[in-house]
Amino acid sequence: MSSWTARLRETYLRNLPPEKLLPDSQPAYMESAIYVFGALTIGALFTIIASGVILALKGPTWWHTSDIGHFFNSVHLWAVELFFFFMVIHLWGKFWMSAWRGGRSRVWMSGTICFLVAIPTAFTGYLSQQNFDSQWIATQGKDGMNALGVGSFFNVLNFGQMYSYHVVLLPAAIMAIVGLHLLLVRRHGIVPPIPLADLAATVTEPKA
Amino acid sequence: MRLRLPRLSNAELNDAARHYDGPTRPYDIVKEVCIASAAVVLLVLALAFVFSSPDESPSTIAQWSRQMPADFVTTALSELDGQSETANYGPPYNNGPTNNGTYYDGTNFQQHIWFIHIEKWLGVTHPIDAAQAYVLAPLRTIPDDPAVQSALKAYLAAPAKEQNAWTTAYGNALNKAAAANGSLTVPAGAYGPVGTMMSSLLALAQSGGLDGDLLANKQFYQTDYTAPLLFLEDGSALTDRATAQHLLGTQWGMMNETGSYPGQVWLWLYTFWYQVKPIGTSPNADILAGTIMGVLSLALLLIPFIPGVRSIPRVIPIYKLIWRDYYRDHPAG
Amino acid sequence: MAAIINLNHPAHYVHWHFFQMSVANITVIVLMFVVFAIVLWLRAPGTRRARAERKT
Repeated sequence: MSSWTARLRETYLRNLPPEKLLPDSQPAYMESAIYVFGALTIGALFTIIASGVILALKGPTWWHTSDIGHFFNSVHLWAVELFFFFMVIHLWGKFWMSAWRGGRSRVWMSGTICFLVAIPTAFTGYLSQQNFDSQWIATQGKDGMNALGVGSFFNVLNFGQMYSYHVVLLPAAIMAIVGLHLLLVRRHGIVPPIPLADLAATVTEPKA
Repeated sequence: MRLRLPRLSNAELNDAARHYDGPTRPYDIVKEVCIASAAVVLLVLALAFVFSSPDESPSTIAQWSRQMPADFVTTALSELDGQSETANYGPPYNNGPTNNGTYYDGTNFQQHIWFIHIEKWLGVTHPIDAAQAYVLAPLRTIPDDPAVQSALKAYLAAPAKEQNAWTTAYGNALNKAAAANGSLTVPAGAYGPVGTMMSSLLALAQSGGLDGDLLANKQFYQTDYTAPLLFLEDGSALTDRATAQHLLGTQWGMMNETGSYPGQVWLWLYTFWYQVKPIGTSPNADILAGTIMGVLSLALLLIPFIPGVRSIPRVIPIYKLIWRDYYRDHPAG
Repeated sequence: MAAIINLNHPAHYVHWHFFQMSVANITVIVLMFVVFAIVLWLRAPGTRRARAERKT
């Protein structure tokens, strides 16, 4: 039986040779500013994680009693707002480019999963604030969770559980999904333009 | 109306997109990510410096009982006689309304969609006996107060019918109670031991003892705020604050934040269904909205495979703007 | 540390039939559409210089 390590290495090198993983050229059709929004989303994610690490270093109550802590809470909050802002514009751009073409459906799907997982990640963050907002979100959110059967396992009224999800489990999931998304983008390359031949001559419908 | 219909088949479109052998230009991916990150960090720092972030202090049971003593006692009474939302909630907290002291299956009020009663199927996973948790157990912890302990004993020894008569009479009297400076004066009446129990519970709450009792009732270290939060929600303390801040479900509250800050804007479509009849007014609103959003999320995920939807970008060619330079340089396509 | 622009006051809301949204949220959403529209017209940084170099 051949080595698992060798097979893994060969699969990796076949799919992601170094010049694909870290290219120093890009297709000439990538001229629009819309292409910048993936990188802006990543930048926002770095900021969220960095500010999140600082908040985690001092514990969940620090920001209520320290001006510097409150500032880092503000950084974390605005980074989240920008993360969703840039990610959704990135999604719109990719939709209107029909970016799933040419075998890139997994790229689209991993990006969508990233968006869908970011929502509960943000939700658990709001639940972890330990202020009136988190009290309200918890007591209201519990009804939705319970109705869907999720409340039995995911108790939004349990601060400790929500904090664990927010600081460990969901960021790990996000980073894994974003990592997969980026590797798939590098593997498949950026989708080429839709051929002009796709646009038929105009078809005029009879006026009503 | 003029329609531009896609000419290539889906297979042809995909084949054309698999590989690109055309012209390239030099590109520094690491530099781009660094510059983009630096730009975002600067923007975030500016926003944080200019606008800061909200931090409305939480409501406590002590505050609630001091500022709204009548509401507190009314809520505590509803926990005792099984009329509160928590007492009637059903799974995962309990089996629903009591019926002369025995629990019966509360399927009537749990949410369901079609034949799917998932709340009921998953059962009670976080048991809360409202009367015990919020009234009887805390009163038992009050030290050196023989009047409270004998009131408790008298209440527990009475038949359910008599207990109901006392709590109903006290509830009616609460409508005529006078509240001033945190104290509550209830007109005299035939309430049995309930009057003593409620006034002692109010004093315990106002001293801060109930906040601690509800949190640390099982173990010293505790991070599960289920009991105190459900109690607060059963009253008006949280709802009054939420109404003022436009956080109610009927106010598109899910996407709002306290103060004038932007909230969770990405929840717009989730909260939208709660504003729309018959979903928003249905007793099954949560499971209906959740199911709709689950279906739509799945559809978003599977766009590459949904005929028609996946062709929208080809029929509305915004892509001609994005790649206009490429098309000008390569008119053959 | 007080914010330069204090947003800790009741929000202003836009009401239209059953639709109601805070000015802050509407601002974010409108900004997203505006930025998307602008970005469709703009070129990415560095591409204009690359075009000029290719022509010379």
